[in-house]
Amino acid sequence: MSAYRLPGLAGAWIDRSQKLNFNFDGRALQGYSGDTLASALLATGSMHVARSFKLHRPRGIFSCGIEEPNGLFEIGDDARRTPNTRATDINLYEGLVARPGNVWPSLKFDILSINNYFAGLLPAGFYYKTFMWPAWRLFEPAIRRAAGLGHAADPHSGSDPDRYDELSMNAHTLVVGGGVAGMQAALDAADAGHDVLLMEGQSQLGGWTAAQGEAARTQIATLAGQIEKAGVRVVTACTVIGLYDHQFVSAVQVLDENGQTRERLWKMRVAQIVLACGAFERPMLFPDNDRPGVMLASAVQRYAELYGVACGRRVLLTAACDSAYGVAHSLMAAGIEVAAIIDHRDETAAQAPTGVPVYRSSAIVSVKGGQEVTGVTVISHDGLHRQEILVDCIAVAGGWTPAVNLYSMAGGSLQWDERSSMFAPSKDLPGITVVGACAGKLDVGWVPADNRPTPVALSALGQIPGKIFIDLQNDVAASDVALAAQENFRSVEHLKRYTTMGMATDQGKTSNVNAIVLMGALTQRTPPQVGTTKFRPPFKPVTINTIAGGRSGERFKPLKRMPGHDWHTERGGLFEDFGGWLRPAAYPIQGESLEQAAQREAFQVRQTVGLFEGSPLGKIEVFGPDAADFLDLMYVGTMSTLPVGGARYGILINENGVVFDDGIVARLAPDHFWVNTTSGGVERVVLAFEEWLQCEYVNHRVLVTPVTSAWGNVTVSGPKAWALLERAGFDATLAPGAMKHMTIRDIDHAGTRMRVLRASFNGELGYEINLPAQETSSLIDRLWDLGHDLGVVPYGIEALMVMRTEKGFLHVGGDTDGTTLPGDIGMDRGIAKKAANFVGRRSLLRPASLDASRMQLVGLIPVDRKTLLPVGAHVVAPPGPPGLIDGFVTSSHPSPNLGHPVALAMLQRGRARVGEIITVHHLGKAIDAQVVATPFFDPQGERLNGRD
Amino acid sequence: MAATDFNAGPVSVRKIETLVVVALRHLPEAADTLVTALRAVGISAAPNPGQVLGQNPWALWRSPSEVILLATHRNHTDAAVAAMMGTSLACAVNQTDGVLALELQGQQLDDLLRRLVDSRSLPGLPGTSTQARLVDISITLVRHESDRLWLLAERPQTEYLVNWLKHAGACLEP
Repeated sequence: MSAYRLPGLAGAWIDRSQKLNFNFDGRALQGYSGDTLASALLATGSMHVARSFKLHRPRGIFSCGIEEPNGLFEIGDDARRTPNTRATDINLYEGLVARPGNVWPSLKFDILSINNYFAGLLPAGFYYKTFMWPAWRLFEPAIRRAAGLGHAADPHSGSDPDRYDELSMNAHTLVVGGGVAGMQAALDAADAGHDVLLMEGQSQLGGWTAAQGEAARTQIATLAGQIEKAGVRVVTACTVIGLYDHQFVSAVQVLDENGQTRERLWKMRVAQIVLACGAFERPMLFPDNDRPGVMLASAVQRYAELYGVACGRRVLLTAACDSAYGVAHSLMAAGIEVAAIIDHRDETAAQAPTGVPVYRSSAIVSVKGGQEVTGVTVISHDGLHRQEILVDCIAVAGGWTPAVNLYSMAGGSLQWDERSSMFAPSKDLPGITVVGACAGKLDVGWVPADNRPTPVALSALGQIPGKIFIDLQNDVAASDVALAAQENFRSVEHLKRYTTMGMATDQGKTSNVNAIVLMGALTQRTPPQVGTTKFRPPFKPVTINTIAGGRSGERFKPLKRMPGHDWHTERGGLFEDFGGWLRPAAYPIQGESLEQAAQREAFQVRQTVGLFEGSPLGKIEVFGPDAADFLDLMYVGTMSTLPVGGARYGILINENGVVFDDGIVARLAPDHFWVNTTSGGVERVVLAFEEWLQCEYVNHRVLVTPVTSAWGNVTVSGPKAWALLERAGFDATLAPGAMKHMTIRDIDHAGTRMRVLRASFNGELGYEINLPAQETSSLIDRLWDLGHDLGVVPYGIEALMVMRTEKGFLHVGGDTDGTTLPGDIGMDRGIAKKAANFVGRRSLLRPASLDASRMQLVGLIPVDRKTLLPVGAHVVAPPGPPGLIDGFVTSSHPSPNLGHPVALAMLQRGRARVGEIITVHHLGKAIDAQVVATPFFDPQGERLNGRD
Repeated sequence: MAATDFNAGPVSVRKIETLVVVALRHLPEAADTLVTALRAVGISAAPNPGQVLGQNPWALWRSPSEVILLATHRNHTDAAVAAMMGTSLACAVNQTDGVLALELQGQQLDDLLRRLVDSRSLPGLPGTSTQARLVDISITLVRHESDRLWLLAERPQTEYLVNWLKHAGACLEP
């Protein structure tokens, strides 16, 4: 154990008067309020806290921020368990439970650490080359099981009990980052009179400066007071995760990791964005640079200054930039011994603390210690000078990488700074300014791009050097980058995907630049010539529930309820989602299954009378002097010839001639139509109508008003339908003898205005009673009460589907798909005679539309009169699969009224093949069926008028 | 069906039982008809986008061809409806039964709504209205006072809407 808690009052951000108990890997430990999980672990001397992803090498905390690649843990238990969480990004709380994600059986003894011995067999892209014989699929399950860094909550433990908030906020200026540059920018904007919002990802303001000593923290406090006085709204523990088009920004705020509302998603659209995101420190590259105890220098400094934690008793700094020297001074001031500074460069103006030796033009070539650092071997670049130094912490300072992620998301381009060896924003963008370290405005002296030990130095070691890791989280080594170059995966996009560099949850924050530099060195290119990949949201990993917000359970998606919903519930309706509406699929009684209930209902309706609520049916009022002409343009059929009170079935096709909806159009007045659509299709039909009116037929004087929710629909159908309505007092002018099928009447019944349409989707005498939605329940209830001795039965969607299939009636979306033309479903009879143009007409003249071998909708009956043909089953020409399909089954039900199954299918040249015996194939089973014309039941349509 | 009188955290939500909703549809050539209809119920002109004119009935702009009339009783809209008849260039469509109208009131009203709609979709001043997206449904908001407004949605979406209001209310700190 090397790390320890500094005595006294060290640690500006912790409160030593508040101890917190937590558990890590089964060990009960303590920390302080203000600690992160990482700082608390380090304070207990826990250096080895994790295992790496692929090779299961021992790993320790590496950083002090969201860039952490090693310390990834499962946090919490049961339904609150969150995997892959960075210990540096979790504020310690009482009772926190954490465990390493990918160890078995334990952290200290992990069986899969054997992978490290076979590292040579597991280079980048190994799964394309190894485990191929005898078959990859034999190895894949085991490899997949071994992969991953943790486990999500077990679904059996219940749903996540936490609440996730979401908030939309306005501001003129959003400042991202609460360091000095950000705070100053916020103050400037507030002084200019703007409404300013400042977001800082850490729990306190200050950024990098906060760890630069007490004087610096005093400066921060003064600045914080000024921005508060200026009216700047400050939100801490809130990380901006995405920057999108039109100045839209999203951020995630951690409220209370152990409280009821856990996280909050902010959504903002602002006029001006100031990016003050700071910079990430670059690691140094040397053999075995992944050992527990190797940490970013700035992190070692922050742990000492802000959390009162010494990351080692004897710290070595290895540097390629001047900031390491500031860290050395800081550590000495905190009472931490600094063993030496190993500077990759041969000179610098920066001064080391008194008594700290500096080895220039040198590099670490070997790290001692398996589970924790115990020492290093340092050799000069020319191989002539060698040092063996005992240390327990190596602080690496390879340079700085501006945090340009958000800038890149906004489309900003980067330029390479030769002196500082970093990619920085090339310029401000409209509405976006970059300041401070994020803009590359930091002076750390000259920084060599490539900070690896020289080959001479490595050779002078006298033994095979260890792996040099580039991407710690995905175990990507320098040898993997070399392999990528060797195999010609030279493009930065290929480098990323072939090696998986930068593809872990840290998104390459500490690895991207080193990999780019290395690839450039291997392929004689400069870093800007290699280029960078695109940064995409989120800037840091986000829990899925934060994105989902409250979208779960009843809030997951809008599901509309019918006006009569309670009535159906009381009668045992089994509800399902049909086109975005919650509707009864059936009303099972006495232990019936859904299928049994549907068969019973479909049989009974044809014997007596059924009640069905059709309120979700799309309803549109089309009004205006040109309404009739317009509907002729929209529909394949002709609507302008409808008399007032008449109704006609019509299909709608798009510009490609493909059927996208259908329904009945009724004429209420010369310039007033009542248009029905499918239950799930009214929005798309209204959209189509409006688009044509506003973009193409702009001179048509037509008003389109959707009224689906305003009108309820009670459908009464069956041989006794009129008997029931008559009993309920409906006027005799609606009797079948007086009111023809496919006509509509505007009536007043018992003081309620209704539109009664004689129509039928099941082939029985049917009345669709449209009435004010709020009256639906009372009507259906009254009909139910009056109809008992008539045998009235409520029926659901499934029974309706059985009956309409018996009649061979079309179900758009079930029997049609994105290729179905009117001719395919036998709806092209009137087209040639229709004088008026209509949308899609021209497309019906294409050769492909006129092809005689097109699929056509036909009926199928199984030859054995018993076997149900599965929906989706394929018709394949002899000798059977594999082969080109001839057709497929689209609808299929047992028919209670015929005593055998019936099906509809799309079949090539179907109508010319009536009588033919074909074979339907499904999951290895072959079923013979006969092609028949439809309807199967009541082919003459006599039941429509209530006669048997 | 969901109970529509409840508290969404510190914001009270009450169903407006008898709100009449009539859509006055008109083609450009019938702009005068619209104005005549509005004057028949005491509203001097057609509202502009975002504007609410009148006091029972209230007239809101919905689209270039639509003004919505809201009233507590159909007596307040009958004259306007009658004035829209007699021409094929305009019509009045009663949407009352299809609309759920809620009154939301409380000091944290906007805090609640910012959890459900884009903050830029909120009507700012009393006497203004907006159409907005509340999570995944379309709504209309009518601001009457700084801490009181009406929320109109499709009645079939009641359950979904009430669930969301309660969820957002629970996230409010009192």
